[in-house]
Amino acid sequence: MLAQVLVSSITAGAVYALIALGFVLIHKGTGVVHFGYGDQVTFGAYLVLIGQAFIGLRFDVAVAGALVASVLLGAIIYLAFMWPLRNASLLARIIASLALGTVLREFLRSYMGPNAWPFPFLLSSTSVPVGGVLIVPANLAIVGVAIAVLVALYLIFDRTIYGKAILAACENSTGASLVGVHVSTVFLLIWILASVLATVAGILVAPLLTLSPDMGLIGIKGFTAAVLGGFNSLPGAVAGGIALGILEALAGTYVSSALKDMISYAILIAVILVRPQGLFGELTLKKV
Amino acid sequence: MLRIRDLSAGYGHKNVLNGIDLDVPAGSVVAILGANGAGKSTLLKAIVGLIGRSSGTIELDGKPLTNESADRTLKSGVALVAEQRELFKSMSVADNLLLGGYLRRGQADMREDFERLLDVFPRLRERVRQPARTLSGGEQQMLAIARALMSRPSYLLLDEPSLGLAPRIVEEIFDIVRRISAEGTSIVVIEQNVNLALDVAQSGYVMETGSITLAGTAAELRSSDTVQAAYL
Repeated sequence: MLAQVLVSSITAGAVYALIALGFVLIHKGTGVVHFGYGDQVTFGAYLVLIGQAFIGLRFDVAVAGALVASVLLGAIIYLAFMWPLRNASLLARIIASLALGTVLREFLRSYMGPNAWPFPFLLSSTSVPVGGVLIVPANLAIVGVAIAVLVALYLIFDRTIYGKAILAACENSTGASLVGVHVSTVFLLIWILASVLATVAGILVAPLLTLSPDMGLIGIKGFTAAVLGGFNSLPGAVAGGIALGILEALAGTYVSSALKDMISYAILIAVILVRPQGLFGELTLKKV
Repeated sequence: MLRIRDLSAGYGHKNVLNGIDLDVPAGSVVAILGANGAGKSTLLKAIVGLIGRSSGTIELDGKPLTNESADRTLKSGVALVAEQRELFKSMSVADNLLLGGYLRRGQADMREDFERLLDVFPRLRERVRQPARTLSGGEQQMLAIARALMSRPSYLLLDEPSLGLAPRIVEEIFDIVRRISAEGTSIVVIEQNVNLALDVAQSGYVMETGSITLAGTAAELRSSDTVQAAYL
């Protein structure tokens, strides 16, 4: 039973990790907590639906098109909103991110309707017994894609000078500028990368939740995972996602499935109260 | 030659620098002296583009130096080692150095420079895998200088390299400054330790409240009554 719970929890954990990574990337780079990020995840999935159901593209072509569109969306968000607001107060930028999410959500509600749409799984959703545990190929695909994305990001950040330049700009934008990194370009890349991550997460999670304008509430799970792992730590975001998936699954199985979401939010509150820097984040002390 | 004429700059609407004229001949060391609040650090920040200028011109080897941003100024060959060092403290010594060579990424001789600088700064070689935040103050200063040298600047601006460091470490750092200068890099050094600055420089300027009040060779400044009374 425990083995089954853990196996099942990895799927949710992998998606939470991707969403958490998007939150943390944006926050590390630009100081903004993008409260509209969950709605961007939804929008990314809808881009695939529009391509497939309305333009008549094959699923893989619709996915490619959605990823390209999400690059443009990320660039537009940064250039049209976040760059002009770069010197505004934190509150103004948070409100802007919330407003952005609302615009995306209500746009989808107006033009795609309020009802849920089915979204294709990447592989079969019929479970297969393997060594006493039921494995769903579709869930394996979700975990596989998430792992591939996370490994790719790790290699970029750890092994390439461009990835190190992004991390450097996130840590110290003055220092980055002094070594020749064009910091505003880095921030643009961060918003584009986060936008693409949102679309990938949306494509992975939509079959599990069914696609509706309100699917963006999944963003709160990603936010919780980021807080749990440490909002200034990229590895922490991944660990937080996996941990949240496991804790949620355990709570749902051994406490109450009806209270699963409540338990997740209780974890968020507990982390903020007891260890606000999360499991892997660093506590920042600021003199005021 | 780095030539600055009538440079004014500051923060917001308040000018901190007022009409600065300054020359840094190629291959020389120029010291900038002055008390706290004289505008010395602001001058270096205005040269590289960390702050904008409200008026004046900066020319590098006869061409206007755009100071839109520090990364663009570095492309022109002017590197700043800031007073706060601005290291990437969670990253290793090796990564800090590699990032110092960011504009030369992909060039075959970058690895050579990396090894050569670890020879110049053997303390850094001993700690090459350690995060920068675990280094002592002196080691962090060495790392900041080495990182700036990775870009092979023609002009190196040093803001208070001895600040907060033990005398032995300061001596080590200034020996390295002499060595860098001997290799042909032009250096501008801000230093509150006037003796040290005039030992290593060929010429210098004294700043007070955003203006240059005295200029001359190192020997002239050392023998100046004003400098002797105020700083020596």
